[in-house]
Amino acid sequence: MTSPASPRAEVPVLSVQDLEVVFPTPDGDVQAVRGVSWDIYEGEVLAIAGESGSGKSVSVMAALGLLPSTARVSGTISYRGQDVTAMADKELEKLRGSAISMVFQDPMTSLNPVMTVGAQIAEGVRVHQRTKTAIARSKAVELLDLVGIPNAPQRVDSYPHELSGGMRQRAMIAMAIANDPDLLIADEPTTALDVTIQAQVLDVLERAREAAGSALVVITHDLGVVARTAHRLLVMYAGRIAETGMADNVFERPAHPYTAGLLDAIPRLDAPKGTRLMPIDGTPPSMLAPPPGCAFAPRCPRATDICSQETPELRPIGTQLTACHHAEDQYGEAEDV
Amino acid sequence: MLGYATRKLLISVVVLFFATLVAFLLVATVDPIAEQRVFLLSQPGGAEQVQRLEASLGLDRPLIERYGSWLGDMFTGDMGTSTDNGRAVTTLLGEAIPVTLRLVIAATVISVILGVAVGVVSAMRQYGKFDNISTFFAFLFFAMPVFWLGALLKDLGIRFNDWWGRRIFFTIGEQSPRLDADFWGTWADRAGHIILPALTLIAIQLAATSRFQRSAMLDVLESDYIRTARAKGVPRRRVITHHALRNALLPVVSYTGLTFGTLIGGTVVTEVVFNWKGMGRLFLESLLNGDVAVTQGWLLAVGISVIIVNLLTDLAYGSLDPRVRDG
Repeated sequence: MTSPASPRAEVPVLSVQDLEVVFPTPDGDVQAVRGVSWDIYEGEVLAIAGESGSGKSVSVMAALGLLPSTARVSGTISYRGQDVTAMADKELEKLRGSAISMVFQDPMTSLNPVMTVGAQIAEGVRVHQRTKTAIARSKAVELLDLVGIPNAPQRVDSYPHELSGGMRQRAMIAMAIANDPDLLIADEPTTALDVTIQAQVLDVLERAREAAGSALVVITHDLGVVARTAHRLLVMYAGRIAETGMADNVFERPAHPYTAGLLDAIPRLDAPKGTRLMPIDGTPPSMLAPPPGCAFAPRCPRATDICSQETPELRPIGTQLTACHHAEDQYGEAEDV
Repeated sequence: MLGYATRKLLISVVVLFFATLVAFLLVATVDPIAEQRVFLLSQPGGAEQVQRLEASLGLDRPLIERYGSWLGDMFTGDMGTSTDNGRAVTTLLGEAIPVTLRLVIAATVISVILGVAVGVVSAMRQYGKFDNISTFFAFLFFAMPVFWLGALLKDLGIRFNDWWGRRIFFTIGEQSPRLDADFWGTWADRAGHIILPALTLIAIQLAATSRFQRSAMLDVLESDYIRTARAKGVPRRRVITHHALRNALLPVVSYTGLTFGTLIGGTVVTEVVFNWKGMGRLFLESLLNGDVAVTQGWLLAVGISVIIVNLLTDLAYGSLDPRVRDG
């Protein structure tokens, strides 16, 4: 694959340019996303990683027009060249669930408790394909079978409360791929699940993606999830991109101290015995009044005066793009290890 | 669903038993001959007369025995006779219940339908013009005592009739006395009589129902599964009708069942204001006359109606929410 610094010639499935999202609150404006650009191409798996509040979910919600009406969105989001932010509700409804669909974090609350899972999957089919009820239903059975729900012909009539968390998330995935979307967005798909079934659900997600032939954006705070699935990685901090590049490269040689910190905080089986996990000190900044300069500076071991004065631009470092004044030092040190 | 319905029915039977106990004890623990007793005991030989009186009323028997025989009579359909006019309690109830039922059903059905509609529209445009106006009237009517609102409407009705030059709103009774009309004429006359008292009850019920529906709807619209439905590309209208409303009806259904008793209370007052010969009037008269059998029969009848309504509420809830059926 090509380096992210030289974009491909083809039109991306989804392209986000200079996205800014602001939520007005009684205490002031929360600047959730502050100028973020990324593309995702056909068949690609992009992981967006970051802490809670880093703006990773908000940037994809904006793509589907699912943000609350009070949110102020600027910049462009285009699906195959069409600007989504300029679309009327009707057009967006056609796009949602058919071209772009989404798997949400919490399968306990994301399914309608008073409808059977089969009806909820079939509804997604019928809204976009105008098929007969019976056909939509058999499609639902097929999809449930595909995502590995045993006894699909019976389970199709189950209500969400009759299924376990893992099964519900499978049903959510089935719902999301019902119309063979071009782009599947999974927002923390395993966060609400037991550790033991997280891996299973990730497998199902990957299988579903292949079956539907879609590109995938995985939003996560768990770099372990990223390591398994992603081709490309985008690390967000305080509403901005900290670092982005091919996942393997970034993992191997992070050029941003924040990415390095995240990686040091993951437990590893291959680490020498007695190695301690290194937490990142401090807390993410308030997005009501983000600090000037680099938002990570107050927590950064490499921070110098320039960090709290000048906002670092995203620039090519090695194989990736990094927004850090000290990226060369970080990148160079990573090589020594 | 069948198992759920059976379970609810069995619970209702148990509740009914307690209702009979309460209906009996509430009245039986009051001394029905308190005044005579004081008078007779001040007379020579009065003590014997008191004993005779007690024996004739069965007051000399222990409470539990009296309850047993009262309950037995109830089962055979014998609710006793009024000490005031000597008529059977079942006859009195048979006359009063249809009159009140008309009022209660009209008020409940209309207030629930309107309440749901007002609540949903308010929630969809929260803090919009419609929401603000409906909120204002909801609090106004909710705060108004029933008798005052009834009297105001009565007054307005009379003024309207004068202005119109014809009587549109009837303000006294449930139908015109000595009415001689065919089937449709009778119902038209009754409709003219029911408007104002029904409006009184509707205004108050509607206030609460619409507020409940509004907040339930606001909660549901914020929920994750609504976002899921929207993410599937379900059109906005269908999201409201198929996903949000069905979930948001649940609290309103339970609320309607719970406040049925309050509605009966409101009906008693309304009937008195508008001079209806229904359950309200029957209850009031039986209390004023110390008419034990009528009071007990009335309490039991109302108790049964509350139990039936709650059973219906449970069944409605169960048919709306699968989690309740299985729980």
